[in-house]
Amino acid sequence: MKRLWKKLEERLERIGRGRRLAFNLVFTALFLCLAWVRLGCPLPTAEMEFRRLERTHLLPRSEVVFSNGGKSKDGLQVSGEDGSVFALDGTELHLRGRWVVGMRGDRAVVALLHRNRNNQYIRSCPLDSGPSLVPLLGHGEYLDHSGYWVTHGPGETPEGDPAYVYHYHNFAPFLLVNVPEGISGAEITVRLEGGEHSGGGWQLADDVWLLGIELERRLGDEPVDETAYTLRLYRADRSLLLEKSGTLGEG
Amino acid sequence: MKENSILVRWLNTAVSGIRFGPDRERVRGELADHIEDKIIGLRRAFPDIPEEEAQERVLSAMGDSEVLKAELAKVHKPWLGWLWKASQWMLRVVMPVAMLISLAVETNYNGYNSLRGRSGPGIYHRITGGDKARLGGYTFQITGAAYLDRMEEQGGCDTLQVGLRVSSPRFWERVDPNAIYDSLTTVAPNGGRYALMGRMILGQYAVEDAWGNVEIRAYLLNGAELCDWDLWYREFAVCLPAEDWEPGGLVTLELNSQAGGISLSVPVTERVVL
Repeated sequence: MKRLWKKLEERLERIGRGRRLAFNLVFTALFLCLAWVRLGCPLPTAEMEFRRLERTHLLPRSEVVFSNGGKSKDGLQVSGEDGSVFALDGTELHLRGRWVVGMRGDRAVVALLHRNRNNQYIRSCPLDSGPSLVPLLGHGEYLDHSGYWVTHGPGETPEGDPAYVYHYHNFAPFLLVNVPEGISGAEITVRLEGGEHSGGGWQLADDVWLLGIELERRLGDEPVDETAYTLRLYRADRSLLLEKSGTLGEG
Repeated sequence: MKENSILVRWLNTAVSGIRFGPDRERVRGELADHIEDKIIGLRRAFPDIPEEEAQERVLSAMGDSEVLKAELAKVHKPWLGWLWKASQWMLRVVMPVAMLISLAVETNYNGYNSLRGRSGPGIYHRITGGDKARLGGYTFQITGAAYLDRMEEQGGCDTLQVGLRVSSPRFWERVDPNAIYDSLTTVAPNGGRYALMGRMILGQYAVEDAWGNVEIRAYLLNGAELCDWDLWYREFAVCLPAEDWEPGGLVTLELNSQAGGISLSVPVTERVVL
């Protein structure tokens, strides 16, 4: 083995330094590539991952309208995988996982990104010409509490002792896009398990809102695509601007 | 020959212009050997000459050490040496780390970190030069076509199988199999259309071994499955019922995605008895 190594070194000595440098660089690049592929070819930013998901699923390039890639200000996220988005009123909303929503024409693309590429998810859903709901669902496609916001302040323990209390409000998130101007409030109601569940929302941008139905657990056994909803949009004077009903997942 | 201070000082001055350490040591060694050879030669020619005088003469013949220093500095650029050393260390670090990562990371079956693999029986009859089309940066090509003749006694149905390879030089974004399953429609020779929509229909047949044990096996009756993959491609076995097939019957694969649509056809001429 030593003899072989010495022979190899002698051979290498005969090769010029430039060539040996090139040889080292090429092999370093190959080994780096090998490690990168074995780690699942991770990309540096969420947008690049989203674009790759679009291409590998043969979807056309869309315009990103929502991403919960903000850095948490309250530091109260449950997991490092969660991302934050900030409403115009300053409320910090957390979503489990990294979500990206894009729009192209009459379709929206919803992607859930994950460090493990095999757990990533992308789907396309139709949009109406007016305000449209885009449920942020994972693989299971059931209403789940993948969103939460946190309130905290002085309170007391169940035994009645004074304490500083953090309250996590879980909600099933829905993105509302193509929202007309002049809206100051929005409400969504879904009909599941024989009852109605309602929730309000937060304005994120001029024409994008995030609505949420407060949940403590997954609701229902029906996939969201069969769930009826009613959407109400209100003006600043609390008068009703629009009421719309439909089935989730159909725009 | 004992290296004395005059020789050592001369050598140190001559090589001090070479900024890359390993080169400096190598050249110093070569110069020292050369001077030693010269001194031995001189003493062979003049056996009575004292060693110090022989050394002086040789050093004088070698020239001014400062001049040599400047010449050597011009020839030996340090940057290539430093780059080469850095690349050596990089390779020494990267190679074992990459091998460790490669061995430690769990490979997901047909997942994104699998370099190559196979699944199932694969394509039964391969063809070359099959219909080809491009969509969304991928090249789609038909790589196989066969009529699969299953024995009626085993309970299986005959099917048509077409191989579809989806390749791209961008190995970091191989096509997702679900994109194929959701958007593929197969058209049989008799005009029957089968939109996969992500579904797979499996059939079953019985196989008896030499000891009389019967094993029930499943096979793809209608749908597509990933059967072969590499860094540069993913290959799918697409099956459809073989009703009214005659040799040369044309099978068409239609891919309709939101990024566009393509259509590939192949005449099925080969019969494979299973």
